[in-house]
Amino acid sequence: MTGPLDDVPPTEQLMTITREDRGRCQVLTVRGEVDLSTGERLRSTVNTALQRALGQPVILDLSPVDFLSSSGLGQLVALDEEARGMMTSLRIVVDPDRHVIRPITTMGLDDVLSLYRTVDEAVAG
Amino acid sequence: MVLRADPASLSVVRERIRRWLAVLRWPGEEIDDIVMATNEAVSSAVAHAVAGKLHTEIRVAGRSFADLDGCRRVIVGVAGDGRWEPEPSHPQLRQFGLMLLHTCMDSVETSREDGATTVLMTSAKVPPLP
Repeated sequence: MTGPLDDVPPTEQLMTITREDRGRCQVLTVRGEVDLSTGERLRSTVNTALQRALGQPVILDLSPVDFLSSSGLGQLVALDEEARGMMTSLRIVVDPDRHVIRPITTMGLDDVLSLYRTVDEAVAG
Repeated sequence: MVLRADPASLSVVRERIRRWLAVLRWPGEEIDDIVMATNEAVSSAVAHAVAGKLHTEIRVAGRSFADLDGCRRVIVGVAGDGRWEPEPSHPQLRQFGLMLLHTCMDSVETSREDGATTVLMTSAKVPPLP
């Protein structure tokens, strides 16, 4: 492990978010890493969806995420608060079998955030 | 390794640490813990550097060693310029980052010298190689 890092990927590659509608719900699917460099973009993208939602549920699918750090967690908590303030349901989908979810349970956030195992379950509400 | 204090460097740091631990045949869950803790410490150094000077360098180094009982640990050091805590500046993140760090590693020591901060983290122990 020596030498300066010169193979740093651009942040657009580190995380992608796609959006689609399922009935009255918006579904945002996040792939890649939710971290210091990508957290702000996640926050603003979800915030836009919350504002467009007009009270209908917004589903944030994190099941394809590869890595979630404390800064990513902070963004999720902030988004959850924003959603509550807008009387909008923010439903977060995580795969409980993957290690990615460990920070959520370690920090006790599974009691705070509205978590679902699959997008179908989140749509059903 | 030496890196620029740029948030995008974090994913490369994580990959390097992961590969290093895989070569050492470290167990999977413990690798996740060490990668998470290193990510938290480096994130704090990066967040501090971004707030301050540009082109700050951050140094990350790791070494494995054996306890007296033969069990193995790694120690990972993260060093950067300036005085920073191993926790980001945002109040909410500060709480999560520090908790995560201490949950993932057995011990964390912060020292300051000559205007630089070093965080040394010792991992939980794992069984010796057969």
